[in-house]
Amino acid sequence: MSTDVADGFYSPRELTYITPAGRRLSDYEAAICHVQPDVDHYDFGGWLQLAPDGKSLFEASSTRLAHPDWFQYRDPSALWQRTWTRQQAVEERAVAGLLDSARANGYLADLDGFWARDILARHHQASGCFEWGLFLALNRAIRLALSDTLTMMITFTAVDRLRHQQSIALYGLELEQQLGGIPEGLGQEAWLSDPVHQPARRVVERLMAADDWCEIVVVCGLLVDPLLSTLVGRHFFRRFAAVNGDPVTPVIAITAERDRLRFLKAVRALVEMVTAEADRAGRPVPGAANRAVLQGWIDDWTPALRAAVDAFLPVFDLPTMRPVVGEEARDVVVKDCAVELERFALELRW
Amino acid sequence: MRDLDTAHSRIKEYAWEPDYFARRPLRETKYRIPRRSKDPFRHLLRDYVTMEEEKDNRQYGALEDVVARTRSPERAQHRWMEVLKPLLSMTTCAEYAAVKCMASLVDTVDNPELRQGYVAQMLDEMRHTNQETYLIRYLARHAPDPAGFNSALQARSVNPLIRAARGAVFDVFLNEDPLTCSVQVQVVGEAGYTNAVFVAATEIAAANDDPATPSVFLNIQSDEVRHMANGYATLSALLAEPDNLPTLQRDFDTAFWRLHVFMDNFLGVVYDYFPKVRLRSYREYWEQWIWEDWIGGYVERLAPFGLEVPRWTERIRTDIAWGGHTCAMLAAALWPVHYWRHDTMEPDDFEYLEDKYPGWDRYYGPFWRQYRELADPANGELALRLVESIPPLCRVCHMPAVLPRPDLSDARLVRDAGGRKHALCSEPCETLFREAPWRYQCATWLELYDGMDLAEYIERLGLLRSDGRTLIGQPHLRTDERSLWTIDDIRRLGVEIRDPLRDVDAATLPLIA
Repeated sequence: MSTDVADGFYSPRELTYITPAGRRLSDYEAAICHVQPDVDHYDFGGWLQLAPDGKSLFEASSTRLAHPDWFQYRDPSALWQRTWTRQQAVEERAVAGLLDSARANGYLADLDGFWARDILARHHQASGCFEWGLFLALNRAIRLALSDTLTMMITFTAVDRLRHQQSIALYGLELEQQLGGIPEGLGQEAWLSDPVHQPARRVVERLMAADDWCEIVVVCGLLVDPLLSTLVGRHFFRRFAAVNGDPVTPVIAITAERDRLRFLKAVRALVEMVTAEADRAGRPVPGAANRAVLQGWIDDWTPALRAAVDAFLPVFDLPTMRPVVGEEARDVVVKDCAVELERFALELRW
Repeated sequence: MRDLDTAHSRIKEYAWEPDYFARRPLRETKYRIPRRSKDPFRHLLRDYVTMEEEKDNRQYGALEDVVARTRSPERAQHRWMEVLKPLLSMTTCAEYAAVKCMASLVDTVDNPELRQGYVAQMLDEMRHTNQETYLIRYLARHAPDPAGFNSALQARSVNPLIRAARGAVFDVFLNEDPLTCSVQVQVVGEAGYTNAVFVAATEIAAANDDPATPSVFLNIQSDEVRHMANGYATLSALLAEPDNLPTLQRDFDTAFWRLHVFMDNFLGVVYDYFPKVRLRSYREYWEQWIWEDWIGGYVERLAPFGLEVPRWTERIRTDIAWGGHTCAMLAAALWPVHYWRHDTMEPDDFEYLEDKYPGWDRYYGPFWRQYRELADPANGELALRLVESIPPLCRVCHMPAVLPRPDLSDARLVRDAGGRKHALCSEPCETLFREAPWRYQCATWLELYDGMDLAEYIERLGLLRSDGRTLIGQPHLRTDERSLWTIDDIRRLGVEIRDPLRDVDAATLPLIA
């Protein structure tokens, strides 16, 4: 006599093709792991077709860093589309709600005139160009990244920068409409010609032209953000705005800082992965060689970052109310950046 | 109230032409692209994340709460649930490739209006990837038979049918000139085929008591509509430069062929062989969504701009009648290598298929009658013996080189200067091969596993259930143990996977230049 099979029909009711990083498979891992085809995992037999230039879908040579299995990467934030969208919606509601209140209650009339018409209209709007450039640079890494978990992390990071740029743009528009007398386009004009921004523009344009996806991610996460974005976004705009009667800029800056901190943790995970001695499966990782590449990138980019940081310092002297001196802020970001790099036995040779 | 037009314009004013470092795109384009054009999306990220959050809450809320509490996935028609295993693992290939495709377009297309659309679509595609993998896991947890859902993204990679999905279509989404990819993804894939996938599958799923798939697919399709607008905006921008027209026509022709050769044949299998409760045949869906809506409503409106209906359209329309049936027969004959169960056809299926495809019974009826007989392991034979031989697979699209029907096929076998043998399924695939043979050198599934014992293949590729002996694939839906095929049944038969090209003398084949 034949019997009917039990519920589950001899099969686990969980995804079996993902090796979880922790004890149990997370929603994040289930959402993304192994969606990217890879000939070293399940896609046996080579790439099905090559590009017109003879390249395969994904090329190990797209970065100078090496790892036996990029698919082991996990973003510590564990964000996937649903949770990232929810988080960004909260951030945007905070900014939009504040703008609504500011408009309704006339807060913008309390702004220091010089802060609104010169600092915000010129330099804050110029930082919108900076964010746009970082978006475009990170976007290149999306196409090239060698695993799905890295691709998703970089996608969210790139679009974060676009969100920052749009928040800055919409606030600029609001100021123009509410205050009047502020000409359009001052921000881009400053970004393209004001000496305080040219070294930063040079950094961003170089990053926008970079071809190594890990270099883009690492330089952005370990140098550009800790040094330049933090100096400008946190130490200047966030701290100065409050004392110059501006309630909106600090909120925009805080949401951007939150995103940058998330990205920093994601880059830490990447650097830890490539500088480890072995991967999760026990295979050797060329950690020393990778560390040399990372140090090479840091040394290569540091002079340009130093020039960008120093060039921005005179802006700290412009506002009516000045809660911090530029040089002090610079010393803080340089020290924090050096400490961050020391985690991985890397050195900031400032 | 915010002035949305001004806001949309303002956010695009932050790009600039680099001075310090020349920026070359990762992939150059052969097209000329106007620097400004129409914004197809007109979304601020602020509005986008709010809208998508709401949509996410509706969809995941329905899946997590109502659908799971009512245990409705268990009550869905089992035959339909089986085909969701290949269907969802196929759609994830497409969505993820489209993420990377959009990143390439943002990188290459220096046009702020189009870029805004591509960015939002990039997020959408990641969204769809996550939604579909979520659904796969959800069904692994709740569907009557979790096997195949739980291994979907591993099993898809080695499955001969889904491997063709990547070879024919989805790898092309990210491995060409980005604008060529846009034609593939947005102009043909999304404007042409997403209705045939997400809308048609939704109504069939609902009719077959599957409430989970419609929750996800309709939610996805609400984004696809905007992607069609992206495709149209891209097309309009390209058509604004008259020099682009010949290249665009060539890409358009090729894109429709590539989409057709996999999608139409695959969807024919899905819609004509897996619903228990039937609504319309795939040919009827094709006539509505592809012929009337896309060709008639979308493509023909481009005629005044010089873009013609794709080159192989008439042939494609004719092939629709048979290609899916030939694929279904071959897929069923190969049931042991699948990660889904391929059910038998019952009398009402025979009647339906003959009614919708007059002449079906003459060509395919005998196979399906014997397939039912051979579904029982006690009969000691595989359905594989019902086909003369597995046909060779096309070097370009990796589909069987017998489409649309063995007696109508214009497949050809050729050899190259190095003496390597190639099957090419059709004139369009031969055209593609001749243009760039170095692009199509990957071994086919049959070449990879030629000579391997079928039982060894099943064991090595992880196609057994967790009892270590029962196959994931079965030629029926019965669940009494006596009817289930085990690895011992397969081993006993001693079947060898055999590439028919192996026996062909290369010297007898025409040389392809």
